[in-house]
Amino acid sequence: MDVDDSFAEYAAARWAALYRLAVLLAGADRAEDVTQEALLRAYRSWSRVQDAWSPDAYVKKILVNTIITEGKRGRRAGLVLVDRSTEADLDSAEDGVVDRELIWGQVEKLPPRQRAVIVLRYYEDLSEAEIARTLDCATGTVKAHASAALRTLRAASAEWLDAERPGGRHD
Amino acid sequence: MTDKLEDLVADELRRRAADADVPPLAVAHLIARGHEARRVRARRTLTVVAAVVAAALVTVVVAVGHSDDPGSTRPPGPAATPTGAPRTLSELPSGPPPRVVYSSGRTVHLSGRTVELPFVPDHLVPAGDAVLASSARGSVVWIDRATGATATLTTTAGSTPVATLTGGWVAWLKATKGSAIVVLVGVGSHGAIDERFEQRFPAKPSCCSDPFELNGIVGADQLIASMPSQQKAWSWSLETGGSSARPASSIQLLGGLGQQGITVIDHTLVLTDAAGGTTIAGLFNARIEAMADTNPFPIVPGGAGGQAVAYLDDGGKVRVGPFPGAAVGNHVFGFPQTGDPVTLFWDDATHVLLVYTIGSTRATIVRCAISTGSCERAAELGPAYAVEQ
Repeated sequence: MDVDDSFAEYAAARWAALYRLAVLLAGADRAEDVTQEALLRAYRSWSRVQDAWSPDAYVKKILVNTIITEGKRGRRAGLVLVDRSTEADLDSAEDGVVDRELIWGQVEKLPPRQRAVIVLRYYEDLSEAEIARTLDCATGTVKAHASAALRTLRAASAEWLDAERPGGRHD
Repeated sequence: MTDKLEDLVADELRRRAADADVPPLAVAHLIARGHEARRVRARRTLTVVAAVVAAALVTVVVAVGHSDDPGSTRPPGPAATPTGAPRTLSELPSGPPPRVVYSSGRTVHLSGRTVELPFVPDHLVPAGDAVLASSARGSVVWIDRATGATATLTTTAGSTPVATLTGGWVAWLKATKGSAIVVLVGVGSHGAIDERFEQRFPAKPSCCSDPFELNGIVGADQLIASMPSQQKAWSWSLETGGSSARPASSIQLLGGLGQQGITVIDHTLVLTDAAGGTTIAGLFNARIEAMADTNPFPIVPGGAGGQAVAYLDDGGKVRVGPFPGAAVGNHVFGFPQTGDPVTLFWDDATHVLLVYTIGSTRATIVRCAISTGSCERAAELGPAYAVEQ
């Protein structure tokens, strides 16, 4: 099987999974572009990808780092990330959906690497060591990111729970 | 509450992923895009294709300065000289400072703030959300781009540091003459060193005439070191080490180096020959392979999200082309010529920086947009400066 066939087979088989991961890491509006960019980068070094310990893990690593890098370039280019979760959104959310919507809103607001840690941990079910390898950092750094992210989410969730109690916002 | 929160997060992520409307993938189109780079590597006879790629990358632009050098061996790109266009640096309008980090003397200029260092940095190395300032005397200082917070990583480095894309790993040579030992540290938040390794490479340098060099990190995780005098280069795969980089088993002797020097710019391998020509190269099955023709001038990869290269030709004009840098079909524009030495850097995906060293007392950074060729003065520097690269 030549390089193109091998790559095409991989891309076709893994496109949906990589795209879904990109949705969680970068949002639906950027997912298609960053997934294609990651696959393109993988294609350019396909022989190295195939030689990797786990080609799929390697491509995911390329995807995650593509997203983080693009995010960094966006910040350096002066782009501003928009906070999409507004009070209007919260008020219009139906009971039972509030937690989910607010959780996603908070995940979207996490810094890129904290968001990546949360997604890789709770969606991909990766261990700290595997996340460290994917993010190209030490396990201590993963722990620090996870701790900071959960602290942020926990603080926000406490507000939601308070709001749902009698006397709270939804009372 | 934490367990419930983690369950909620996991459930929500799975739901979001499952609900995503996955668009179709045009695999053939993707492969065609990948072929664009490989065609150039397969080279020489496909110049028409490369010209089309270049045309797609950058549209026709207006030049600011001089017309093309008729003696150039490369096909000229589109260029024009508008009436009244600036011809000297002082005629250029002033613009905002560079987006990349730069220094003048001991002062490091970040976006919107400055940091004073205890030494004059001679290199500024990108490291994700941080930048590394280093001195020839061995200091390496981690600087947070956003806050300006600093942390000293070492004061005894034997080389300029190199870093992975995210800055999670930083490496330098151990400052022992005649050794081939690379120090690798895991850097966490606030510049704290989480892990530290020393890796001896299978090289036998003597003291000074055939130094062991740490070149950089190619791609995501291939640390490159070399001994050009012996025509040897090695890659150390940090990937194979899991969360902790492991020793020698993952070091490979690379084939294909020849009598060329190695530099790594923007995580891309650049080979330099004795005549000063440069070639973008890649690693393929433990071999260094050229990805394009040799360019007679120093190529700087990195623009347009890593999809472009730029270089200064002998007429002092910037040429921009598609990665990996075929010497054909390049977009070209001019800018004021002073006769002073000039160095080229990428500022972002669509702008380059030209640093003019004026005499021995000052330098000027000029930013030019590659889409229009318009230039502006971005910063005035002292004689001892560094620009992030």
